[in-house]
Amino acid sequence: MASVTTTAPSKPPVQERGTFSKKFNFNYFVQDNVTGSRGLIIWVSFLALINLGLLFQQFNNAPGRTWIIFGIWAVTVLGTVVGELFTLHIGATRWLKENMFNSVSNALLTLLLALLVGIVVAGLWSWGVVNATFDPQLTHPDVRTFDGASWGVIWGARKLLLTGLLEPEQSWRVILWTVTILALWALSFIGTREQTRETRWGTLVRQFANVGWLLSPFLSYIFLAGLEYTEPFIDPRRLIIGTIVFSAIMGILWFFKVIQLTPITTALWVLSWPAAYLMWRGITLWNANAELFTTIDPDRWGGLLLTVIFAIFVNLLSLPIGILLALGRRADVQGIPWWILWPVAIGLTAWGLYSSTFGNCIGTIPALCENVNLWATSRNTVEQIVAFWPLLIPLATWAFLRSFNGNFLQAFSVLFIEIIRGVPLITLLFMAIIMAPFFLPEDSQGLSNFWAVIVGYTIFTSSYTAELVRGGLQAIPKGQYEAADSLGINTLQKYRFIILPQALRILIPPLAGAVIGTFKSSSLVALVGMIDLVGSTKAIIANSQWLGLRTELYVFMFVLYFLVSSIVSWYSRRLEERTGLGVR
Amino acid sequence: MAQTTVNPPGSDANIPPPPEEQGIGARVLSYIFDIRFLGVLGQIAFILLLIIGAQRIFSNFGSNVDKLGRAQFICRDGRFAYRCAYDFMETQAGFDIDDTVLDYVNTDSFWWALTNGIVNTFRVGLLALIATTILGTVMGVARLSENWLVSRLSLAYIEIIRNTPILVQLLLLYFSVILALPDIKDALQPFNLPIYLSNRGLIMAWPQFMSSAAIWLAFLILGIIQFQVMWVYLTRREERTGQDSNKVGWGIAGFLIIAVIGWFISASVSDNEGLLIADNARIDQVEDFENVMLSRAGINHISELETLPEEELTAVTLDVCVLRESPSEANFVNRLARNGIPFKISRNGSPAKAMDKYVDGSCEMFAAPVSILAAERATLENPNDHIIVPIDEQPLVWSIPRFERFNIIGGTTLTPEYFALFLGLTIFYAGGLAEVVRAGILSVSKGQTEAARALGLSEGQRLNLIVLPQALRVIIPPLISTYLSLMKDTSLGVAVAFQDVYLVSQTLMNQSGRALQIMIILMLVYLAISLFFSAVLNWYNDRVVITER
Amino acid sequence: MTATMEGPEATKVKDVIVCRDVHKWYGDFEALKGVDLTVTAGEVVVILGPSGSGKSTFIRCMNRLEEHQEGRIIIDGIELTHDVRNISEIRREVGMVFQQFNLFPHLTVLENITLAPINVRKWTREKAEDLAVTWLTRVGIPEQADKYPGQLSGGQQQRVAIARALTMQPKILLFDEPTSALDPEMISEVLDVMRDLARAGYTIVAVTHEMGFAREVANRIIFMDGGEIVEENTPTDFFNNPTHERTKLFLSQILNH
Repeated sequence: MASVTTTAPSKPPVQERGTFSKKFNFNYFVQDNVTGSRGLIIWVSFLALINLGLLFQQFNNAPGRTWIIFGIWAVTVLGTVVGELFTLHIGATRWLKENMFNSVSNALLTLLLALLVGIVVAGLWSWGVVNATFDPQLTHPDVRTFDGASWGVIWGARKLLLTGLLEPEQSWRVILWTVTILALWALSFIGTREQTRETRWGTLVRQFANVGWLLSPFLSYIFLAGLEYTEPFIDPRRLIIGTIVFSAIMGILWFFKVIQLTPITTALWVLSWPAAYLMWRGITLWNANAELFTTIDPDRWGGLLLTVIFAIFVNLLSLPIGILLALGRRADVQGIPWWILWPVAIGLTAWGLYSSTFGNCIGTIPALCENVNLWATSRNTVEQIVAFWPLLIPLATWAFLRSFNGNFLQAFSVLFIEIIRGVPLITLLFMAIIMAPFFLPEDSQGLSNFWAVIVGYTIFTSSYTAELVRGGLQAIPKGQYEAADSLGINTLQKYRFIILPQALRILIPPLAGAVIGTFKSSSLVALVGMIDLVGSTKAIIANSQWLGLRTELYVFMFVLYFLVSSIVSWYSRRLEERTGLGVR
Repeated sequence: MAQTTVNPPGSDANIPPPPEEQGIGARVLSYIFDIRFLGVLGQIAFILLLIIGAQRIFSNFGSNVDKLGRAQFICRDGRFAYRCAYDFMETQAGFDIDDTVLDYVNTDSFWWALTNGIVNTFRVGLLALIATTILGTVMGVARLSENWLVSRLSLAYIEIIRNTPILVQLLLLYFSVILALPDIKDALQPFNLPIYLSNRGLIMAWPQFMSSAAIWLAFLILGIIQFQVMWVYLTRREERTGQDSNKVGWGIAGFLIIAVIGWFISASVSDNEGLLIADNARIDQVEDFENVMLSRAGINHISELETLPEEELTAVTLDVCVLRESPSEANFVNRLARNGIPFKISRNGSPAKAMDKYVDGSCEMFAAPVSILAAERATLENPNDHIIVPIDEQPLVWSIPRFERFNIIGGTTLTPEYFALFLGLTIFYAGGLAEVVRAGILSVSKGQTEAARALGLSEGQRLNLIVLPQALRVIIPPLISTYLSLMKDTSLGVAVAFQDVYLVSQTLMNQSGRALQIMIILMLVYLAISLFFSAVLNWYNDRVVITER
Repeated sequence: MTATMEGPEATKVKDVIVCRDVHKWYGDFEALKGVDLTVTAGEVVVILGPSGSGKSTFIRCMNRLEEHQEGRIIIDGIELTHDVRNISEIRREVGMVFQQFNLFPHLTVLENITLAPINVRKWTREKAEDLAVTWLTRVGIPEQADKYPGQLSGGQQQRVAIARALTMQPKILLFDEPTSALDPEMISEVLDVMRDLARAGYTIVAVTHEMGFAREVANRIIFMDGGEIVEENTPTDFFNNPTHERTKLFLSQILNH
């Protein structure tokens, strides 16, 4: 223990044992550090052996570096030993003693790790900096002559990395969009700071940012997806669906107090629809030659842009769905009684059995109607058994009543969450792309892969969000529910005013983790053929200009993801501190 | 103010009549507003909504199946029927799976290809699971180390790994690390161990069980039974007499003795391995090789072989035919190598091919199990000119990788894809697990340690009896979730072209065009895995809850 | 102070709480074994009993925090059934104060108090806040209105909880061991408020271990044990001449420690 050096000088010798006793005793030292037990002897000799081997090898390979590392180590060890033997510790040696060299094995471990870190850092340094080239003009045959990295490819292929297959002449729109969003973010950031929140212009800034956020979906749509220049300017069906989906998300988020809408902002928001339409009209009239904001197919979005769009879209969509699923899973409603379920189940079973053994049709859909009589067409025993599949209905009914007491809301949420969580994300994404054509109306031109992936990804993320939210709900004490009930507040108000605000506040760190997770795992869309950040490397590598330059790109992405994830987690900690609030 | 009298029940006039005596209108209303009725009504409405939604989707589905997918349900006789949904699975797969443990050729059925994919998923998943547990624990403990450098490095590892996507890590590992390793002829060999690292993956020594291993296994089981008996006996004696004894030590010692005895017995009774060789080769037992070699090379001692010039050495080298990667190969190779006899191995896919070479003289002998040799000898023109020499075998032989020309043969190979996926999963999930382990250890309060010290427990006892049981209670539930995620993420093998169940399914879909059916199987496979882990988790939670009471 | 502050609104009927043969099971365990109780308007009833006697369950049945399975509970002429209209109406008229205060930690004291009046009674914010401030003044902590519950002491929190219940203008107040979670020095400030309310004419049913309060304020004392009402008496008789053996045992345990 550290404090032994200065205290307890008069204790019996047994108490003074240990490396750093005041009176240094060599026998005790050896016993404590080397010969204490068989395991210790083996461990210390093993470390010593590896150290020797590595030192020997490194003195041959890279003498300069090794001498420096070994020298520093030797000097610090010596300093510690001197400080120890003659009780001459200064701040630095005390720190070293406590944190690096508090036993022989730790001292050896320190040397070993220092050598290994030296090897790795030196290797990376020589590859990434010393021997590297940064010339973006350098292309295929020449880049391979370098021992190190050819970082030029990242600048050279920046268009693909940032926006994928988007036409280069459209990239200014992406830049505009990025600047707009970052500016809004900065404004919100400034407007909500402690120092500015109460001031007049702080409020002004905040309100301006709020209005900006409300308009941001339109701006994003115009910037990124573009406008139709022929009547009706925008596909009315898309507009209606977009309006409904967006309002639903905003409504649910507002209802559950995730976001706040004052009457003014709500009014502005409502007004923003006609405003947006006018803006739309204005742009198309003013720019009738269709040069600005022409339509871009979502499938052309790519690179970092696509990664970011995925992260934003999926997180925004999955939070409200996740909350609903979590509430469904905890729903405490009267189950459907058995005397309703069993007759229905028995009826269905009978009908199904009749269809699959005697009849020939169970529905009105022609494709499902042919050859449903499994019994008559069966070829072997297995198929004969399969013909009795309707007997599974009573089994399912029984299980439903037993496990969920007839609570369908709970059963639905639990099954949805657990099934989705039991399947890898990439399977869901693949399924979304493969299966989408089967479920779409025949007359539609087909869902673009982008939207199919969004759907699959959102389903996946909401299941995980649901479990997070459920954890948050469980953390709310029962007394909160009871207090709300005793005041006569109804269930919706109870969740809206009392339970969810508290739960979501608890959930800020895990939700931030989930946002980072979504951002990171959005890289998986590359595996189903999307050209996101990771997917764009495939195109770059295949490009004859940069043939085979993988490592540089992977390292670049590695660093990029690391930086973004770190920033988001730092920001979430700040958010947590700000809302976590010292008020509890 | 209020009275203090006690009202006799039933006497008050201002109580409303019980529901059954109220008017019909009030009763109907009270049923409608009954919270239970409303709940059931809401759920039925929800179900109806789902049915309507499903019908909308499935009506498209039906007509789309008609349009896009009618071919999916074609029977072998060309008719259309739903029962034929999986008929196509019996057709020939027609694609290769490079890395299998079960025998697979591309003429096998889709079913068999899929089975191989499933086996591959488990092969990489389970190994990564074990490695993750070890690495995660080490990293978690290192994070709490009092050595500043150790804990900082561990922190850096955890932060870097957790803040980057596993896919990028995997790609970096596969393309930039493993495929950037030296060619096989310059393979890295760490610490002179029989392990070779190259861009063809990891090749390492691997134990192979001979036929006599069955006998040895019986002895091992006997050893385990002995351990149990010894344990029970010593425990009873301890309780009776209070005499302390090293139960584990005695048990292990007994086990080892039985294992060693079993080893020699099974080695001596086995007579399964043999060598087919011409009668005139003057070899009646394996020991004769040395003399034959000496006379061939015209030297006095086997160690002089090294002094021979290259051509002469090639001339005296034995040409041996074996079955590819059979235990017999490892057994015979080890036997010759031990005596320092030079040999060249010709590996064959089937006994017939080996015999062809034997007949045309490109190999002098054929090492295989006796039963195969006897059958093959009978097919020779003059069976009596050839003899089968018995080779002694041990229950377990190491197949040791060795250079031969510009290749390494023997041992077992982890393909670069398998190796990358295994390493990638391990490194990624160990980062998460390290945090779990750390939290688990920190969750055991200091008071517990102090209490244990106060009771006079030794450090080892403290760790085993006090800290670990409590830390494990915190660690195990998230550990199992980590396992589940890891098993699911084996599907990332597609990024490095490792043929697990996901990639095989994808290939199957491309080959057959039956997306629906294969998707269903794929989902079921993953759901089965996740159900298994959930069941383990539930079982553990139940058990812990019971012991906590 | 306004007139409403002085006392509760008039009840519709004289017997505001009528319980007839109330049964409650938790699985196989019968928590209430046929409890009968009638409370008239303005009466203060204190329920005593050892822990696990069902007294808390009983009081929580009166505003449907627990569901009784048999028997009838009629609050101010409205029967507690599964009918949602009745449940919400009764909860509006019955205020409850909990052992653990159960204030909403994310809302200020004022928001805590005005939440229900605004959303349930549909009052304007001004009206609700006016009343909230009056009640806070009456319980003695008007200066704490803008603080969060976490910044208050236990006694202050419990007084906020009482103000929260009262701002809804309930006709009946239920107290579920309101002083059990308090430090000894804070008990009296809460009891003072309760005493005030009793004098102002509120109908109060309280589960408590405060014998002094029971003796002084209660009109009637109910002693429960094993899910039944064992004895029902005036405070004087209850403490001085307990009739039942179990009551005597309980009193000797309580008073002689």
